[in-house]
Amino acid sequence: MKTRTIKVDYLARVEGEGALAVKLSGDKVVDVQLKIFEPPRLFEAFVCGRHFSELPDLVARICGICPVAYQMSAVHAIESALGITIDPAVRLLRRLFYCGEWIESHALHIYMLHAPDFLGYADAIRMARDHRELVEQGLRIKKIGNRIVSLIGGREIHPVSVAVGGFYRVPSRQELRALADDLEWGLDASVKTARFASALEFPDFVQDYEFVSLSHPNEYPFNEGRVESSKGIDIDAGLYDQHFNEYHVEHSNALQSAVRGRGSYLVGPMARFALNFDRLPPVARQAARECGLSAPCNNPFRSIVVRAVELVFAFAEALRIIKTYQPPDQPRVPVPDQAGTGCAATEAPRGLLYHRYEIGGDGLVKSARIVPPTSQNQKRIEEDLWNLVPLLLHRPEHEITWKCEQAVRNYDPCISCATHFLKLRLERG
Amino acid sequence: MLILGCGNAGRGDDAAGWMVADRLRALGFPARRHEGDCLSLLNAWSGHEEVVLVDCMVSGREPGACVVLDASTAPLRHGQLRCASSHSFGVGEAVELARELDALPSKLLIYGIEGSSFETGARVSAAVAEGVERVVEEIRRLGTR
Repeated sequence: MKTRTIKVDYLARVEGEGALAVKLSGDKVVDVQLKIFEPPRLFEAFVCGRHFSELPDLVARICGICPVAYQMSAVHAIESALGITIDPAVRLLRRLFYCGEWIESHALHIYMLHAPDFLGYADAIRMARDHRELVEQGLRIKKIGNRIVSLIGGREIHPVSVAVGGFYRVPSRQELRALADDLEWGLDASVKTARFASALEFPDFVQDYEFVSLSHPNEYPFNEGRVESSKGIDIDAGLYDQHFNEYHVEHSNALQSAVRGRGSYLVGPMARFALNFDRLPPVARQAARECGLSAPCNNPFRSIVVRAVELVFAFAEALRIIKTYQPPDQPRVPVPDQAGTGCAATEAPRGLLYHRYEIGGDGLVKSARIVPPTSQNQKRIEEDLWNLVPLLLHRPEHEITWKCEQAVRNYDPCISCATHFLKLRLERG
Repeated sequence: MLILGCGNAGRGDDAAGWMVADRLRALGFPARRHEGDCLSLLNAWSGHEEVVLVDCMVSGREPGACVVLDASTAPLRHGQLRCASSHSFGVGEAVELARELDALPSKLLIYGIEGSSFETGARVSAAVAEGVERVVEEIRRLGTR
């Protein structure tokens, strides 16, 4: 039987180090493997024996794009373990911090990593030749996100101000108010971003997803809420392990995840949008409606539009916060050493990020568990490819390859925040 | 003139760019460590006419070897300064994106110092430390001309 192999030796615009292999027998897909060969980084092991107060700085190093998410899940898990209640102003500030990270990360992905797929460019540099204003707009939006993270966190990447119980330093009212002009501009630009994204061409590819995200009764979720799914899960994060199973597959150094007894699930913007649409602020709901987007959105290629709607949300939420913010009396509440076990899930730009820590009476970490969004999405990415490749077989191989890469990029995967290449091997047997 | 050092103090020879920036700042030059992703280099050099950027490189040369590229006169060749960062955009990509957006400084010199060891937590090798001194001296002469 005729065998063909397609190789992509270097795929930019994906975070992390991995490969993709699609095996075909005739016109039938017989295997899809998202291979993550980047070495395990063993964070869960090396944070053991460290004091809980060191965790925000340690786990921030897991990712250069979403360090805030790692810090937020860690401090909430520890505060839960130790029975700490934070000041409402700190809670608000943490939401603003997360707005900054979502703005940075979503702008990077929409404009620099994903838009070139839709507009037919190999990368953002070549896209900039023909779409200069678009790229400039993306960079300006991203810069505002960086500014928020830097103001609250002390620096743009791997922020240093996050503490268990609050922050080491909180900004003044005036410092936050100074963001207003940028945020007003960003809100307007993100509505335009959504319009731009919705005018792109999308393949007709609708999937049956189990969406999983945090859900809060009154707000679009960042740091707080129950873990819900579109197929009936509605639990406190403390029951995460009873409903979700992490397991090892031979072809990947990142653990995969599944809903126990069911299978793959999807975390990230599409899941949040599906489960929390009515808690978006009116301006974001309006932007979605103008884009012809209703919840749920089951076409992963349209995730670029959902991400843009979340940009609108992040700017609107940031504006709301800077208008009402009053600094807390104390930047952080004291947190004495004591034993406890706690967990928390927060919403990283790419989806649900679950942390669990066991702390000893001396304040040292006894055990740790970290489940990032991309590892949860791995199985679902493979399933998208199982279903997508048969629809593409009549096309030239370079187009099949391109579409497969694009399908992976729909998830904005952060394979493990190290180098960034992904090889695609398409075997035809 | 603005001097920007790129690098990572926790990964052996990759600290070279930061070391050059630290040394030059101590000598009174407008030098700083660039932190953050390379895309934000466009913000870092915005408003500066003359910029010198220093980073560690892997080109197959002897450890500690130094090269200087004038990025303002011609585009970097494909593959030259290809990204070695975690997240898609390295120095080369940032320079070429800036060129497309007319956001390059009028003069942009890039000094590369060849590294060989990037172990987590390691100190810079002796050869790279010597390369750092050579680049510091060269930029110092450049700045006082």
